[in-house]
Amino acid sequence: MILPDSEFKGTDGFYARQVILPEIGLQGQARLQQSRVLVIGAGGLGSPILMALAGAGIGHLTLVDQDTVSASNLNRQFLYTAADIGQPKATIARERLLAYHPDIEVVALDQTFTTELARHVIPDHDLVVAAVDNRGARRLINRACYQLGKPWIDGGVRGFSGSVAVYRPGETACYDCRFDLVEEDPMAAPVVETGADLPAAPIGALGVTASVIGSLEADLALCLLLGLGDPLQGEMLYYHGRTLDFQRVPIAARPDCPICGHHQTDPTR
Amino acid sequence: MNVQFFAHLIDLAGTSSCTVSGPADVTSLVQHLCTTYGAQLASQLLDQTGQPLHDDLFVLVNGRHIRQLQGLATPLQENDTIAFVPMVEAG
Ligand SMILES: [Zn+2]
Repeated sequence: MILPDSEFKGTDGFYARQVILPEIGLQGQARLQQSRVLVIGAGGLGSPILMALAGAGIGHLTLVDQDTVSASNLNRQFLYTAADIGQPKATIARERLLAYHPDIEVVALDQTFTTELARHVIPDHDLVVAAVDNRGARRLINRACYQLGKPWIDGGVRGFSGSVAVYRPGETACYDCRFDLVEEDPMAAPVVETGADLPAAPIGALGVTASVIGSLEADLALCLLLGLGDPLQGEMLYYHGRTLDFQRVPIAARPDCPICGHHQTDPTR
Repeated sequence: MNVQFFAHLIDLAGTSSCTVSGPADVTSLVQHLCTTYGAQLASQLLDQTGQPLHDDLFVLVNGRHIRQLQGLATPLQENDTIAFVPMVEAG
């Protein structure tokens, strides 16, 4: 549903309180309405990311998650309720997002994010936001985004701490290069699609941490989509919830990286 | 040299940064930190056999991965900044 201008201008419109911000205005809001964002993962990070992007009026959201809702998700995955246990996350998330903002378009894919799916869906989007829980999935997203020239935003959590990063083909080091995974066999870290609850020993996860990191990912998405620039400029941001430290880490790219190396103009970025 | 800790390493060291003098390379610095901050931090710096480094950790000297320098033998100078950065991967 495309809203007429009056919806933006009206004091009761969904976006009334943000179009009066100088950074957004009617023009910025129209830009958000025309934006297409792919969110991979609708769990702990996906919940705040999707709600924030729907709330801001991103015109088209595609979300991918192959998981079903389980009781152990409900300390942090606020897109879901106890009544949703056993239901597919992507389908339920789509219903919730459309109930929140019926003016946007939401496509839900109840499937594993594979290389084939990446090549199929990424080209139709302006930006990819990752909300995944394993290295294999991040490496897959990284390769596909650099091949297709699409920026992607990553976030991760561990207990009270988390980190975010922006990867921009042609501008910044890629994920493999930033973590110096270049020599590692990409198949050595297969995509483990398990939601946030990993098989052997579940990793502790806290709702407030996921909300902070997911919100930072959504902030970065809005900055890029509005043309406000990349606040991180090739650095990673680490957050710690017990000390409230926000630390930036500049990490050099590898000029010989097979994924992003040939794009690099400045090896320190 | 300035040593920086990130994520859960801050809890185990009790600080996000410290100043260290003396260690001539990364191995010596890791040994020094394990002695100074004890077994809990050591368990996150060392691998299962007690050797540096833990799989989930990467070390940057002045923003460069030690794997692109001389690994654990990377020499350290007094004005270097060494960052101990864990991978933070859950979602
Ligand atoms: Zn790279």
